[in-house]
Amino acid sequence: MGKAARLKRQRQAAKVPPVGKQGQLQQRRKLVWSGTAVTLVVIGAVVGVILATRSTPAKPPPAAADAADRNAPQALIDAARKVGFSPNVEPGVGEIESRPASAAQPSSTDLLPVGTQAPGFSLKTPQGQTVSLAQLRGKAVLLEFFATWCPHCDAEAPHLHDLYASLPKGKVAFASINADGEDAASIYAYHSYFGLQFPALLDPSSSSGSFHNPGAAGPVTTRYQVQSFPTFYVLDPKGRVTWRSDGEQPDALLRQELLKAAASG
Amino acid sequence: MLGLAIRVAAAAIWLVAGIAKVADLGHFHAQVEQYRLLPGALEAPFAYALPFVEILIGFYLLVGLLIRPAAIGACVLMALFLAAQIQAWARGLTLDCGCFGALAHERVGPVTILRDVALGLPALVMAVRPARLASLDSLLLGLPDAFAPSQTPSNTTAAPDRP
Repeated sequence: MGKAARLKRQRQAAKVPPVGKQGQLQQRRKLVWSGTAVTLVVIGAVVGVILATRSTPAKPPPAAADAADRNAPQALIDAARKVGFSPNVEPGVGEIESRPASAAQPSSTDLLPVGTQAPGFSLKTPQGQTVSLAQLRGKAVLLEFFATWCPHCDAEAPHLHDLYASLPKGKVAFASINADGEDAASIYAYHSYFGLQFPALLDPSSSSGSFHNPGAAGPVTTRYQVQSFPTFYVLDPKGRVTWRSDGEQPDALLRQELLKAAASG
Repeated sequence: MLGLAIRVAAAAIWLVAGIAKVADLGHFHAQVEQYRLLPGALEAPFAYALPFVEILIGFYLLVGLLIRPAAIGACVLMALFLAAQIQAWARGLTLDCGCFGALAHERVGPVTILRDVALGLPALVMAVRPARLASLDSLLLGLPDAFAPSQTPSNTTAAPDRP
């Protein structure tokens, strides 16, 4: 055993603090670690204050399901009941929808450019009814890519319900496309909970998802370059992209873009 | 100097990553949610605390304080990020990496995984061989620079003091 180690052991045994330079260094080391611990506690406190001061919105209440949902096959209704869908709410979500159009944030992901011809699709509703983009030609179209578990999508849903109800059906159509390959039961549960009057469509993928487990993007979602939920596209009556963005959007902005697109055709 | 350059690079990576996330904590929270790896109650505390911890690690590496522990912390975080990305990629999830908050948007995949491995290397080097040139570790705690050239062993014997 070296002399230094022996001395250290003897000091520890005798509980004698080290003296001289060694003692100074040890004290500084303690001070640095204490400072680090205090900094981490301060970070914890700051985070706690941020979290505590955010307000948690109330869950959107269930709406009356539309006729197609009420008349769905009993097996689908039973399967949806087992899903146990309930909107996920979080502080900070569901606020921007009621604000003016100017409150919108720029898109955070690279989506199809404005002016692009929107990729065609033919997808099924949970009840098995086929909806294609070609059927919607001649109207301005709002495409929403969503996931049932996504709090931002859950916050948007009642707003889309009201927005759709307030727009002229002869000029505007809505379609929500599930973006993470969820099963029919989860999508039906979501659609009927919010009483949506426009179709919610399945985009099956190699890795099936559900309300409880996200899956992989389906081929249509991939073609529209969707990376976050919700993602919105507005198409003009000829099927060209006139506006797109991701994240929750002010209702006023969606209305403005849809009416602009409808008028451009 | 090489060691110092690697340390500054490691510091810059963590500072940029942390500051970019702090600039838009809500956006980073949404990105954490999309991974769906943590229980719901932990997502927000994790998303709001992580950027500050990243900045702390970057700051410690920059000023050279507790270099090895900070670098080990960085390596642990990077390993967690890589595990999260690999599982998301393996499951075919379409996610924004969230690696640099709202500063960059990249879909999780082999490119982001390899990029993060590369970005984790400077911290790994610091964990194994801390560069303490121009550092508080050296100034305050007297710790040696692992990148300093080793002293040539002497092959002569000092002459005894003359009376």
